[in-house]
Amino acid sequence: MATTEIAVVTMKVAQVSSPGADFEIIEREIPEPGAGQARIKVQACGVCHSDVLTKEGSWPGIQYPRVPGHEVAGIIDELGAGVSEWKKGQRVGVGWHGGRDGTCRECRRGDFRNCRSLKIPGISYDGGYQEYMVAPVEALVAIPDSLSDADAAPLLCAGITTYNSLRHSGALPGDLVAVQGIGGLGHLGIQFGQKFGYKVAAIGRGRENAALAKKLGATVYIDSPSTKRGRGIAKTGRGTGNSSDSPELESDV
Amino acid sequence: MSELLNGLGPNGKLIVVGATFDPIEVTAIQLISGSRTIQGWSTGTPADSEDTLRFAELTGVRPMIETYPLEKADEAYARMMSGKAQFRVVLTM
Repeated sequence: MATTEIAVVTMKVAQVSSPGADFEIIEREIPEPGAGQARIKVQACGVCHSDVLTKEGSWPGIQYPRVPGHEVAGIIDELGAGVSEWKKGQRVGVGWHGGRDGTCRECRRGDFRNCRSLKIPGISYDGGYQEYMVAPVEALVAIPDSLSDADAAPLLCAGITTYNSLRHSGALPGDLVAVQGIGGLGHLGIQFGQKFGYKVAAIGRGRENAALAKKLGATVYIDSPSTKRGRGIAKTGRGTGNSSDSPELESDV
Repeated sequence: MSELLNGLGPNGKLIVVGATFDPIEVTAIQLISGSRTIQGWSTGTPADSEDTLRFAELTGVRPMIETYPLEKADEAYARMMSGKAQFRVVLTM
């Protein structure tokens, strides 16, 4: 009599088994989405400096093993019960904001960004360093057709951080905005700032970065080792007669 | 970072977006003169993310990336930590 084998479908996962441990590439069973969740076939996931929180265990309360990753782009592969607003095959992403409780004082005010029990992919639950991940539907982000997965992924943390902080900064078109550091955040901050109509002063290290800063949209480049940074901005501000300088700052470089 | 504050104009704002555990040093005089502000900012809601993606689509803003296969997650992570990546490291499946 022939035996029937039940094939267990597995996926590849890059997990951290304990704080400070190296990544392990292992096979795991593909998870099933629960009610109000979607399963995403991950196509790309950004490696953000904040992943250090999971890798080194510097965020309190992480349960290990844990799969990092909060810059996820992929395709909805399966929907859990009760999900009607998203469709299988739809391109979606998940960023730092990985779910809210909907009941805390901030959520009741509509201030979801500051939810007191905000869930973060890769910290509160397994993130995007794997072939399939499950996320609550309130965390999903629709990805426009013209953006590739690899380009969309970093925009879901580095991109939104610079875009959203600048658009709420109070700086108006024509104002001087300085971006400290031409790195993971800064190279996006310069681009968004220029598209918002700001005069962007990029502050970097070394003359060799001047051409790149200008290509990204900076009007002025300040070489920080050779110029006192603050003085460099003040000089630029006076030069344009701007009264409202709003240096945006990042510190990842 | 303290030095940067001196570059702010009147009513200027310093927005801190790089997440580190390093302390920020500032004197009261630096804030009071010119009524300057320091503000932290963390990402946004999924709807803000959709705004970001649509704005990028509209204007052509794109991240500069270096891609690695999922199997090389350790190498990708080390590259990000080195600070030498230009500029975002992305795992592809």
